[in-house]
Amino acid sequence: MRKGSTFWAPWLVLCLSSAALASPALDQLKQASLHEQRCLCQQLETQTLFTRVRETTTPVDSQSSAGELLARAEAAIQASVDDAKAGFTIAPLRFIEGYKGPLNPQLTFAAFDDGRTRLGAALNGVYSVAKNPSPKGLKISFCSYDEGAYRNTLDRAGPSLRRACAVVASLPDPAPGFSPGDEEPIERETWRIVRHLCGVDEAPQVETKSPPGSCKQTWTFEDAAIRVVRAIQNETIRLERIGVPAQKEMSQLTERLEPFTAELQTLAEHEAPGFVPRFTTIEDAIRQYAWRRSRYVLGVDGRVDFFPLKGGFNPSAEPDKNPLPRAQLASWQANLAGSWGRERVFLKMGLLLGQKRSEHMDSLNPLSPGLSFKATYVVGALVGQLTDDEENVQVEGQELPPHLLVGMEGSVAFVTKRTPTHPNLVDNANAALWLEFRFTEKLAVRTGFQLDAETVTRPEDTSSTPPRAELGKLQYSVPAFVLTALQF
Amino acid sequence: MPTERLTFKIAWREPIPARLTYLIDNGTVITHPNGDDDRLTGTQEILFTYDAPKSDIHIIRWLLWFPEHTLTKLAATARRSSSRKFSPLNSQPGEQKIYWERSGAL
Repeated sequence: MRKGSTFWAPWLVLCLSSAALASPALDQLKQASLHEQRCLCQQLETQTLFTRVRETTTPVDSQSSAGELLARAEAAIQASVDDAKAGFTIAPLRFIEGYKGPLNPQLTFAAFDDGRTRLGAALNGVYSVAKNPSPKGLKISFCSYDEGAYRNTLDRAGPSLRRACAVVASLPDPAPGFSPGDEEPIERETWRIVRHLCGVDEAPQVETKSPPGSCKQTWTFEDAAIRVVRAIQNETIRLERIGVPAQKEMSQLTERLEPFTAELQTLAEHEAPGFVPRFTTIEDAIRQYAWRRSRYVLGVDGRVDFFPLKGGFNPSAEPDKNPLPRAQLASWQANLAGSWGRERVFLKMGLLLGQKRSEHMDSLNPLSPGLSFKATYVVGALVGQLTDDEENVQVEGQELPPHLLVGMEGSVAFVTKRTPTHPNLVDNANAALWLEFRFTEKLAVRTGFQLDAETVTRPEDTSSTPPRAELGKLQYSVPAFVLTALQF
Repeated sequence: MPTERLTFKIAWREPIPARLTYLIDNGTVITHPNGDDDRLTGTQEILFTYDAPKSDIHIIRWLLWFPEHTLTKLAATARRSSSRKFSPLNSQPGEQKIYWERSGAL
């Protein structure tokens, strides 16, 4: 677009001699602008679709990463009367600027107070029903622009148009400069229309050309403003092309345009207001929209735990039979999990397969398949309101207010073959019931009780009377725990 | 009513998909995004050709939509079929978050 004050400077002197000849119908132009804007916003309300919207949530569960998404990284510390552990999970692709792909790989490193170390990797895919939301879906109105402010803008720009029209009235017909055989040039059409819009005496009327269904019923203020600017630019270019023979005309024009520089700049920069509300509103609307839509995540997760690595003096009476642990594999587990989340509810179900051993000298137990589950429910806001009466989540600055969740999760692993020494079908199980305080979306504290059930084995004793056979049965513990998680 | 063919081009730096949510030419809504028009979605560039009543000046208004993203070096240009050269419609806005909604004249 050709515009800029430097462009006008050589231009603005030409027209004062015939300034009185122009009288634009400002009120009609303004009314036409307001009508066109209203008409367009109503058409956009019913026609426009948006692209897919995705959203990530915060997993604070250190059990398994399968089926849950992570924004970027999470550090968690969990302490209970039984043990303590600290873990760090990172989603490396999320550190790539702009990456919003459906795949969410995660890497986990964790340490336990008994010296064990955990390495894990997970790959999750996400699908959200929150795709192609319409403005109504996002609850964004294209008609929420401030019509009063637009009217004021038009009122302020009106005098500028009137004064600039005084310059336009004196512009000569550019047609004589065109080459013979030229079709009706654009420049002449602009000159013809702008003279009509500026109300130049004896200028013939020019009608708008609009297809059926168009919002343009007649010329608007914007139509006039851009043509005033363009007509003066065209005349400048015409005189520049003529060069020396038009030097006098050019200097007269420049002299006349000088007082109108500010007006022309105002008109050159004038635009009708946009239809979209300011961006913070949209960000909140996207979050609200995603809250109301289902999101599915399917993922696989694998992790291995290692015994500690120890060296040096072994205090055992029989070091050969009781060697120090050398970072042998303690357990491995693979998970396939899927989750569904919508509004306050999150549900996750998974299948797991793994092996473990109690001591590093033992052999791994037989393969143990199992099931896992997790459910959370957002109880409400800790401060203020989480939702309004219509269950629309209240978002401020793209963040939910501090809120409270209640959750339960657990897993159960089975033996593949029951034996006299291992008569129970269940090899191990755990369940937890907790409350989670999400003070911010980056900081959460979870506290609750965990039920652990694990098969412990009584060794065979042939020296007792009667002899005792080896027997494995479940042992229960119910430790309380506190987990603090930071997410980035 | 005589018409002319125009090509609207919008480009940005990042290899991120965005959608031309609306395009208005001289007060007429040109794009019909209710349909699955692939031409309205692109990565780094969208080129959209349409017919409009012949006019000395086309005031073009557009909305490029890229939720959750920030795009830089956005530029909108247009040309008539009679011209090979694309003319800039507006000054480059630097970077924009979520959407870019502007207007310009060809």
